[in-house]
Amino acid sequence: MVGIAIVSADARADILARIRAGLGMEARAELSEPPPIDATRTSPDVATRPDSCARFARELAAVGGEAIVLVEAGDAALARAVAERVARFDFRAVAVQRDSLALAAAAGIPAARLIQLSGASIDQLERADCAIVAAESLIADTGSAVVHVTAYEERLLPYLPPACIIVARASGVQVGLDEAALGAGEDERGERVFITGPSRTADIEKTVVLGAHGPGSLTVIIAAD
Amino acid sequence: MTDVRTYRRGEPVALFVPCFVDVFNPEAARAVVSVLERLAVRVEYPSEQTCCGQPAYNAGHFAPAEELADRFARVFQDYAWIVTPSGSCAAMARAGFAHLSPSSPAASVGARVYDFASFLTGVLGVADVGARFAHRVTFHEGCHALRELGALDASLRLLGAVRDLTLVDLPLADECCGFGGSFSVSFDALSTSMGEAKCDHALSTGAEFLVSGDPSCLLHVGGMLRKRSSALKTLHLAEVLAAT
Amino acid sequence: MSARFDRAAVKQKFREPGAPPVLATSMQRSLDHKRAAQAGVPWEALRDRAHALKADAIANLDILLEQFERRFVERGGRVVWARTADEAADAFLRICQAHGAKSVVKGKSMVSEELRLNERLAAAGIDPVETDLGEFIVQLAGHKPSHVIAPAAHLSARDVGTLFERKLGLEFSDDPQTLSLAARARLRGRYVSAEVGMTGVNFAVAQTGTLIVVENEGNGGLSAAAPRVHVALMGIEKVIRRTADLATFLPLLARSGTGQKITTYTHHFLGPEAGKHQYCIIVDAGRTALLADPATRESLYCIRCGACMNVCPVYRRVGGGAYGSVYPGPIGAVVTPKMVDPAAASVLPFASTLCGACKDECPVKIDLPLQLVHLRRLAVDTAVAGGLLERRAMRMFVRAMSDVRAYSRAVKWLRLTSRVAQRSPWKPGPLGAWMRRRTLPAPAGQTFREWWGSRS
Repeated sequence: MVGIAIVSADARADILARIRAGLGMEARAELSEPPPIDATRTSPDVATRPDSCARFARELAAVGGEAIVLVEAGDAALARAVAERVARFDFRAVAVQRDSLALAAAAGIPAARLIQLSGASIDQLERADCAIVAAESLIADTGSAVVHVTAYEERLLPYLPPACIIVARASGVQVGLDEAALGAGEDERGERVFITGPSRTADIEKTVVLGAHGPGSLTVIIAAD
Repeated sequence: MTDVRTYRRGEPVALFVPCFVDVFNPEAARAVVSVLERLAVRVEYPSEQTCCGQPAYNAGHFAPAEELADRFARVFQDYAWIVTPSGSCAAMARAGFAHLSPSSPAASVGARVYDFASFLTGVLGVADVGARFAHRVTFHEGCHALRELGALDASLRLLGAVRDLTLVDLPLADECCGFGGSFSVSFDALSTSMGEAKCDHALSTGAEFLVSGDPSCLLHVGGMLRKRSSALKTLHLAEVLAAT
Repeated sequence: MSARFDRAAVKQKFREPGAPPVLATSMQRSLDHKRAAQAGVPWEALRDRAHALKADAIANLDILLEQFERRFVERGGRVVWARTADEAADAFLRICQAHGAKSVVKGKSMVSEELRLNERLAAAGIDPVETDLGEFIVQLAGHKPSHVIAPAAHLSARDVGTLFERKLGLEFSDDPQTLSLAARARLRGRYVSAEVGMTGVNFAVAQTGTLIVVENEGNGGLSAAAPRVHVALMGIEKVIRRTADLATFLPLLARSGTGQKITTYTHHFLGPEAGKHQYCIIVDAGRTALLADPATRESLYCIRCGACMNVCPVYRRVGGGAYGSVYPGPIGAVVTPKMVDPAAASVLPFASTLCGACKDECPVKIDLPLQLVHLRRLAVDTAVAGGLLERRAMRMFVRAMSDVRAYSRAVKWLRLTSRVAQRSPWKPGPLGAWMRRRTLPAPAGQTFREWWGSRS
């Protein structure tokens, strides 16, 4: 922690007092009854998992990403699919999240093409041309991958390299953006990020350009259960 | 706009004619009378009527606006049904009076005021008023009628039932024409820039008539069309519906 | 240091609207995207729900802020409260100095504009680096953002090409792809060399003490992740009760802002990991004044999607720069008088036809035209607007409308003057202003009242 006093207790008290005065209330600790959490869905239900995977792939494609749904089960099949992709695009410096699924997915990549993440400096990460991260879950309705990154170097992975491969399990596909997907009450640190397609901008004449600051290429590989 | 109350045959309907219609566009009000009487509705014109107070309300002068709203309520208090050829005056009565004073007599009288199109379709339940108008027409709904009164469907249903009429879609139909009362004077260049766009869109349809349920839009856009010496004429919806 | 509102300059800009045509085209494009995206979801139900959730959050604002603070601190973050924009900027500078910052990478934040943070940082010898493409362009051009989500909406691709050629020494291009990627290359190295990263906040969840930031470019993620210090700037109104409420807000915000189902990145910042510091500066800066008036409280429900400006025919013609405020468009006209300067009340709320298009587009159903009328009333009541002449004219008008005989005299006068004005080359006053670009119809030979009288 930093030694210099940054916090002003007066400001805090003043602002809270202004709010209470503005609302015409005394200091109180109890919240009023909240509006119920309601189930207004933004999408029609998708009943079965194959439907969900197909829906996910469609939604991701619509925003410029690509989903690969594996048929063959097992980590070996996933590792093969990832290695194939790395070879096809000739990625030479792949940074992998220290996560069991991500590491399993990267098992088929030649060691010479991997960047060791532990103790990696940012300069090394800047050199990476591809990141492999794991998704906790996928949201079919929006084509989003939910990625949780907890360590400093890992937090740069979804954003810094120009290509990003996200690996996920088919069992992790959820239908829509509801409470479960949003993950209430977690006590982890770092960042949970919903990633929906490659980085993009439309700041010039509303024309969409992919690869604004984050990766211009985003692939989600879904391992069969 | 649909209503929970029902109109019983023979009930008198009061007509509210705002001042600028009285002077510049009395044909619109006469057309309302003509259509309603054709439908066997008893029309009355309370002679004490003047203004709903909208100019004062929109300019932020609430005290004068309230004075005129109260006056309006006194003049029209005996009527269950009040109809006006002006969408913005109807919106003033229905929403503005309540905003000025929520539980006032004016607010309850205001709730009985209808724009002409909504009254025909929503209260009388009529879409075909027996009109014939063999012309190409495009339609602009005023913002208050469009958004506060939700009258667009009513207007389009009424026009759709007019024999021999060809209705052409107006591009960017839901964009404001730029009148805005005193705005048209205080921010003249903005107002006319919006009006020019409306004129251009209307002219692009190749229609012979630009029709609206709001005479104030017509005063503004019509004034600009005349300045351009355009052949495109403006007409109030009631005038089209009165034609046979 | 606080921004003052230049009433005369703003009025002039509304009197001579000068937005470039590219603005209207881009705004229409945004609106088309929004409308396409809202089809297929229960849009009205979502809006009603969002309105109710915001109403609830604002009604419990004090408790939710305290709850948020507690949870955020439990996660290892530090909270700083700031009454004014200056206080917030001071706090930001102290944080930078404490961490020895030489440069700050900035994600997009409107609160940062309220703080005039770039000026303050530069004055303290710290380099502020805008990383959002639009903000980067605007900073390079020395402009202010002209739109809450598209800061460079007033510039065409050609304008940007010329700017990059002049300021960055790049070969001219008017291809958005080439230009966007040039900015990317330019900014790459800045993230990792900056000591402090700044982001705004879209939602602060009281239940969990987490910060939600949405964006598309990835610059927000990089700004938060790469430097060792992350400072988030938020207005007091950003707090919501629960994570579950995001299921309502996220789809509304993305659809309304850019026509997306969800933004490319939705960051949930969960507190600093090892080796990292995280701060949240909670800023009032006039928001409690909006809260104190029940008639303007609703403006705090705003989620800054920009839809009200996208659709506004006035905004499209004058551009964001004309409003003389950080927040342009209809929401800017509503919040500026109370948040920034009461002088704004004499111009901004009046520069509208009250057409209500903004209200229809607003994803949280803020009744913007009603608030504009309310602010007009306050301006008149406090003599900020509606001068002596106008008051006198209004009294005359009411007198003429209070009695049928007076009304008939006024009508006669109106008929006469409009006939004379039509022929006269000299057209003074409001009638003249009206008739420069429009004609009046010839008054009818018989008023409706006369016709009715002659009939019975």
